[in-house]
Order: sequence, then structure tokens, then C-alpha cells
Amino acid sequence: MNHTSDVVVVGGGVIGCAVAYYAVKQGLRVTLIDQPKRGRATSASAGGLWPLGESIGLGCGVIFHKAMVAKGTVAQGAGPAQLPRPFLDFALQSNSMFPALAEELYETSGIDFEYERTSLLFLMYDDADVAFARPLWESCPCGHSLIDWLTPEELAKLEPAVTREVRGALRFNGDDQVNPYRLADAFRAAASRLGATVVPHTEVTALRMQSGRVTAVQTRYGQYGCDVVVNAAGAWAPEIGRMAGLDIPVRPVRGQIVGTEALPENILSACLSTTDCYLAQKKHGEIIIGSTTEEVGYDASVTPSAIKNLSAGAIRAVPFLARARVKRVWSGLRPGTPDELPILGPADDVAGYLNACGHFRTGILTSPITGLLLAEMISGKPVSFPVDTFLLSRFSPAERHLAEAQVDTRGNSDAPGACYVN
Amino acid sequence: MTESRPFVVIGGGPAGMAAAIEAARSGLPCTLIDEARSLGGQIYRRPIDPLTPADPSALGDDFARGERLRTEFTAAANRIEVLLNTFVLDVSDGHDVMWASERASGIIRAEQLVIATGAYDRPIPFPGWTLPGVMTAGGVQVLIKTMQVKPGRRALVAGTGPLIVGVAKRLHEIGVEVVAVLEAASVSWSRAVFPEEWAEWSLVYDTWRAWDILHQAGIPVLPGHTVFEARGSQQVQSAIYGPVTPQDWRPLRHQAQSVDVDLIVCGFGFVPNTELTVLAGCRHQYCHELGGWMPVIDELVRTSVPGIFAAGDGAGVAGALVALEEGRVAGTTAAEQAGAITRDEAEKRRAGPLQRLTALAELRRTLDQISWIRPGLLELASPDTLLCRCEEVRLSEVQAAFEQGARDLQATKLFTRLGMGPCQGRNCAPSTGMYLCKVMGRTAEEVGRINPRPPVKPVTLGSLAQMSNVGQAPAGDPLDAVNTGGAL
Amino acid sequence: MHEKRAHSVPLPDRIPARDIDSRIDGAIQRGGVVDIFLDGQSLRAYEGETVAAALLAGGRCALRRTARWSEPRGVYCGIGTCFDCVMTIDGEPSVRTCQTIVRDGMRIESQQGEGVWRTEP
Repeated sequence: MNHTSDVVVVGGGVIGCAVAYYAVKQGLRVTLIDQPKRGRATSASAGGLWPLGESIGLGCGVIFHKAMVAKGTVAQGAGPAQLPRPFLDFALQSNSMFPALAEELYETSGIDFEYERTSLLFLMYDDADVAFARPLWESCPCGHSLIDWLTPEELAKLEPAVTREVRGALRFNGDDQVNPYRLADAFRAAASRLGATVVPHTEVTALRMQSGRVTAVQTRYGQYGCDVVVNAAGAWAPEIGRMAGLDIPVRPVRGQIVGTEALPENILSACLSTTDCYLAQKKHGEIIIGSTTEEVGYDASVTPSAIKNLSAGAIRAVPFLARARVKRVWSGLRPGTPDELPILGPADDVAGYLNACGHFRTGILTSPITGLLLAEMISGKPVSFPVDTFLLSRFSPAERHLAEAQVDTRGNSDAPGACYVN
Repeated sequence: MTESRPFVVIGGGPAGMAAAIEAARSGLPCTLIDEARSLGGQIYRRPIDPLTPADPSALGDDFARGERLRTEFTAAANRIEVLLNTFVLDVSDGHDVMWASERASGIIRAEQLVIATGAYDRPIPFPGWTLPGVMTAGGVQVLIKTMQVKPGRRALVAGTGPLIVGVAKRLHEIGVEVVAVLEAASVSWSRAVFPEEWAEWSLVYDTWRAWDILHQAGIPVLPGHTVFEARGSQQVQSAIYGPVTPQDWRPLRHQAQSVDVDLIVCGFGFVPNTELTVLAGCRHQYCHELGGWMPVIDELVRTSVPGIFAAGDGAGVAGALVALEEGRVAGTTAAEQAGAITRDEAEKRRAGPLQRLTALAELRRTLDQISWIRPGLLELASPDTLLCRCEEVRLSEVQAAFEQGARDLQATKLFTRLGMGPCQGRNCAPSTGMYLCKVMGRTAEEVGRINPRPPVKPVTLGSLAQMSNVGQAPAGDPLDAVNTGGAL
Repeated sequence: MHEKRAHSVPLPDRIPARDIDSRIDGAIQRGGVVDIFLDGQSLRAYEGETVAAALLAGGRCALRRTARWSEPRGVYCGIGTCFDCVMTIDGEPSVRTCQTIVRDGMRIESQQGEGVWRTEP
């Protein structure tokens, strides 16, 4: 069975759905293909948007940093590395798209992705935390309009459930949150409403090429002809890349999350980031506590040590949680790249192919801008943000091969809950 | 650092107890874990200190059988380590059993494992089924057996299978006015149902006796009937009931009747607890007559994962008699595989249980053919009826999810939040799965499950933070493979 | 085969909770008496009973209201898996009454939705 469209998007996660949406909005004929057992593996791990926080190393970054310091791999006193300035701008521009997007997607798809203006609080437990936070506060790239330094008393007033054993907190005011599943659903449903074809539960087996150009996407159930294929396959992007003869240096990076029972709303109004964990109360009342940064191939199981550490970290930050019950623990696989920046745009030597992958910790946040940029690239329009920093060509061959060696494709795709997380 | 044990049994009901007894007898030390305060599972529940039996004969036949099993257990107990009030949260690769009690938690690595987690009452949604006063047959039994409390004053019992006759008799004996017993299948559980020679099986004998008692008391057992609706403002005040078609059990609403009651007891069979067998990686199959999804086991009750057995109702609902024998087979085989007894000795010890299992098979098949849940019961629910009790998701919302593209249980869950509450899908997945099969014309395998995630039972963060035998660093050193040039 | 119809007979008027005791005597020996407080009112219970059993014995059937549709719930599964029977016990919300043993002086309150948590550190 053969079909033809202008663009085929491979991957039905938040990135793929965003690309499909923006592309079909541009008037392109779009087909979105998603693999079997779409379990939202990566969406599942998303805490909050946190553009500023993530960019300057908070959230998972600061937790990981603490682990590295404990191991002696990084000198005490050196803070988590901040991502390059272009990425921060990229993230902030995407972040600013959300309010309008929430309305737009709701109107088109009927789905509300629960966009919530919250803020992110970095709790400073000790001298080391203060030493880390001070330079951020003093030289914040966005000035003090978006950041506050809170005293313990101010913190206690804002968040009565948070521990009093702190030196204070840094508050990031533009860091919001969404329901990651609903965001992808909303993009997909809106894309579908506008005429995109969605092909679920279908494995892509090959890319048909002719004279260095992709001409079609081959699946189990037929071929999909296209002018352009977009690789939005997340943690599985390397597989699709290989089909075009490309080495995509994405490797799965596992993050585990502990989720509590539903608690009364606004027991936490802001999201919290500490050196042990982050906490975010979702719309339905559950508090999610994350996370870890582990390279274990495609193994999406959970580990007792992570469960223990995350639980202890949560209790330290919000003491009453010792009495709250855990409803579920799960993990997701972030698509990691060697420099933590996404891989967007064309690849040298292959025509009719665009990358939209490697979003690591910030896929949810940067899905709108990624979708927009890809749609612009496909339709030959000028891009709303320069993509040079994100091209595949920035990686040396050595970087690509190292990344490949790290990928352990021992994925138990038949075992329940292994790669596909809910 | 992890504690290890040669043989761990999860679940202290008849299957688990029998497995522990046989292992211990064969010289294999055993660790038995159960979440209750005492052993016996659901069927052999008994009053717990300081509530003590004063007149055992008034506590029913199950009490006596449970006591006999406990006596047998006590005789073997010096080789059995018993952990009560302890929940198993997860079984992961390498048979790591994650457990938690009120304030502590830990991991036990088991060389061999029996998962004997039993089953729970199958939920059948109908309008008003969430009202206080609608209870499962299992729940009613627990209240009577362990607390000696009347769950209500005037009851309607509905469901299918011999156990509804049994629970109705128990209710009657303790002074609850039972207005009727409604059996959805076209049988009345009188002696005509089973051949005489089956009278040796306690289940059969019990059912006949119960039927006689109900008959003498003038309590009607109506075949081909079921409950349609529970009504009341704060709690059950009346029930609507009526006949169903013999083939499909579709409600014949034009013949509905009303009766004033304050208790509706629902006994529509059981669903195996398969969370742990799924998490442990065992292969499963869907078998509607045996309660739904269940682990695939061979004649020695071994699952597809080497070293893991599954016995009792948790491996397919077949009742306590079967559970006992399966447990014995598991315990004996584990002892054989651990080298505690020879193969010859194991075969000798297994011969009796295997023979009884064969003899029971026909009885079980007969019961299964009578009582497998027909899809007509799905018509009881109206658009406003909750399919998910925890998250309060209505049938109309599940229909909307289907229209928006949800084609399996997982997708339905992500659209509607069905199955995301504290019961983790137990009380909504079976009926919602059946509903999806029906509207899509698909099989249960295609409709799938709501994937269980640990912890399988709720546990506080405080308890998890104290987990013993667990190191501080995350497993699989994350630092070695990272190449970010110093950046994180 | 019987075709006897169950006839509609109204239940007796509701008896005040204090005077109801749906406990069955004879088969078991109960422990000592304890006093528990249900929504402020004192209620007699016995050592070793679950809160659910004590409440049912005292005639109390509707235990709480749900979060979304504010509907009444009581004991459904009786074995701790459905979470319908939860109430706020000694200030802790969402505690399963069918799994909790009574204690002298225990305070039991019905809750709306997720209840109210004490969150001060």
C-alpha cells in the first residue's frame, strides 16, 4: 500500500507531534508515523518547563552535579555547567510561545494541556548551595526581572510546607509547567484536525533513498512517499538515522520518577529544585519527584536506590511528605547528546532529511519552537531562530562513534514496562 | 548487600501456605510474606486477637479448614520465616523482592519464588454501584469472618457461581434479612447441578447445604436474574433487579422490579492479582473463564521465568481446593530444584496433589462454563455510570476517548485518567477492557492491560526513604559513560 | 424452581447510631471496650476491630465524599484495595478504615476529596 505526502514525521512523541502540527498549519501534507506501543517513554519523565532553571543547570543538572562532586569527578565549588547562551534564548523563545499555544490548541483540538504559571524555587540547604546560587543571581543572563533571592522567612510565607532548614531560595519566575502527555495529545489531535494523517503502532523499517535523497519511508504495512522525512524518533533517533546512513549521536539517558497519591491542590504552589531532587505538583494533585541521570541503554526499569534517594530528598525538602503515599514509580529515556543541545535541521550528504531530535532534558519546553522551525525549513521559509548551533555537522566523527558505543540496545521491547513507560 | 533467601513465597493464603509447608517438609527453608496480620488469605480469614473464637462451630466450615491448615503450618514452622503486615511492592530482574511494612522497607533476593497473590472480586459497574451499601461478596465475608459484624440489615445478593449461595447463607445465619439471591446464569445451585459423586468436594457439599438452608428459609434463588441498579441518596435504599437473557446476560429492563434493601452484595467471580507476575517478567495469557489475565504456568506451576512459580487464584481463579494442591506442587518442586529432595522423592510427593488437580479439573470446567461473565452485563452501565471508581470516570468519557482515537486500555487511561487512582486499575480495567473489546470487536490481547508499575501497594515516602540493603549511589554508575566535556 | 418475588417492604425507621449494634454475639469473644469519636460524636467499639467494622456496627454506612463529583462512598471491597472507605483518622487524611484497628480515643472524620493535610514542617 503506497501513500504520498510532502513530509513524513517519524516519531509520535511531543517533538514529532509538534512538527506535524506546525507543518500542517503551513499547508503541507503531513503523515506522522509512530512506533508500536507508544508509551510516551520520554514524555513521562517531564517535570516542568523551567527554561531558565534548566539552562543554568538546575533541575536534573544540579542533582547530577552533586553526585559528581560526591564522586570527586568535579571539584567542589565548581557549579553545574550552564548551557550556551544561544540555547537559553532558544528555550526562552519557546517558553514564550506557550500561552498562545494553549489557547490555539484548545480551540483546534479541544484538549487542554494544563498549562500552569508557577515558578521554580531552588532551595539552598547549605554553604555549598549558597555558593552555587550566588553567581547565578549576580550575573543572571536575564537580569533580575526573572529571578528573586528569597530569605527563609519569605520562602516560608510562600510555601508553608517546605522545610525551614534552608538558607533561602532562588526563585525563577518564568518557569511554568504543563501536562506532558496532554501537550503531545493536543499537538497530535490538532494536527489531525487540520488534515495530517496519523499512523500509529507502526514500525519504520527502512528509508528509501535515491541519489542521496530520501524518497519514502518504509513500514511494515506499506510505503509512504515524501519530499522530506523528519527524524523525531527521540531516544530511538539513531536507528532512523542509520537508515539514511547517518550517525546520530543520541543515546538514551534514563530518568526515574516517584509519583505520590493525589494531594490537595496548592500544597506546593511552585516547583522545587534541590541538590537531591526536584518536586512539582501536577494539576491533579500528585507530586512528582525526580530524577536520575543514568546511562543504561534502553532499560526503563526502576531501581531501589533511586527510589530510596528520591524519597529521602523529597522528605528533606517537604517534611510532611514522609506521610504521603507513593502511587507509582516509573522511568523515561531522555534522548541525550554529547553537548546536551538538540539536533535540528539538515544533515550533510543526505537530502530530503531533517533532524528534530536529541532534546535531552528540554523536549517539552522546546517542542513549540522545534515544530515551528522544522515547518519553516520544510516549506523553505526563513527560520524564526538560527539553527546553526544545532546542526548535526557540529559533532566530530569521534563524538558520534563514542555515543554509538554507549548505546546498549538490549531493549526488552517485549517485557512489560521496559522501554515504554506510562 | 542485598539479603538473599533460597525460597520466598509471596502470599499467605492456601496456595502460599501449602507451598511453604511442602518446602519446609522437604528441608528447604522458606520465607513467607503476607500483608495481613495473620495467615489464611481471604478464604481462611479468622478473628484476630483480642477477638477470639468462642464457638468455632458457629464460625463456619472455612474456619475449621483454615485452622487445620494452620496446624499443619505450625508443625513445619521451624523452617519457615513469616513476615506479616508486609507488602511486596515489586519483583524485578533476578527475583529481587522489594517489600515494605509500616515504617521500613528493603530488598530480598530470592533464588526461587512463588507468587501466590490470589484474586479480588470482579467489578461489574451498574448505576449506583458506588453507593455506600454496595459491597463485594469478598468484603462481606471478611466482615463476617473476622469482625462478626452485620454489613447491613436487609440484603440483595447478586452475582454468579456457588459462592453467592454461600455468602447468602452466611448472611442469613447471622441475622441479615436476605430478600433474594440473583444468579445471572440459568442455574439454581440445587443438587441437580452437580453429579452425586462430586459431593466429596467441600465446595459442592457446602453449596448444596447452603441452598437447602436458603430454601428452608424461603429465600428465593432466582436463576437468570441480576441487579440492575442501586438507588438511594446517601446510601443504598433500594435495588432494581430483573431477568437477563440466558445466552448473553443482557438485562430485560421491561421486567424490572424494585425492592427495598440497605445492602447489595455483588459476587461476580474473581480477577487474579497479576501485578507482581507481570513486573517479574512472566509471560501472561488472557483466559476469560479463569478471571482474565493470568501468568502462563506448566503442570508444575512454573512460570516462563526460571525459578518463579505461580500458584492459586493469582494464577487463574480456580478456588481454594485447587490453590492448596498447586501450592503443594510448587513447594515440592522448588525443594527438588534446590536439591533438598531427589527427583524420585519429589514425584512421590507430587503424585497426590497432581491427581487431585486432575480430579478437580472437571468440576472447575463445569463451574467455569456456568459462570463466565457474559458481555450482556456491560449493558447495565448507563453513560453516567462510573467505570473508574477512584478517578470518577464515567462511561460517557470512555466513549469519548474511544471516539478521539483511544484503541486500548493504556490509551484510554492516558485520555481519561481511568486507572490512575490508588487502586491502580483493579476496579476498572476488567470491565473497561471488556467494553473496548465489544465496541471495537477486538480481542483482549489487542485491548491490552493497564501496565502495572511499582509500588504494587501504596507505601509512604517515609518508609521508602528507610530502605535497607540499598546503597546510596544509583545502580549502574552513571558517570563512567558520560562524555560531556565537563558540562553536565 | 422458585419464582417467588421479593416484595417491597419498607425498612424500619432509621435508628439513631447510638442504639444500633449490628455485632453478632456468640461465635467470638470480643476484646475490651474502647471509645472512638466519629465526627465528634463518641461511639463504642471493641479492641481488635477495624474502624470500618466499628462504624458499620454502629450503623454508619456513608463514610466520605469524593473529589470530583462529591458522591458518598463507604466500604466496597473490604480488603484494602479499593480505597473507597478512607477517612481522616487522628488528623491524617485518606486512611483506609478497613485496614485500621481502633484505638481508644481515636478521632475519625469524614473527608471531602483528598481531605486536609497538616503540612507544617
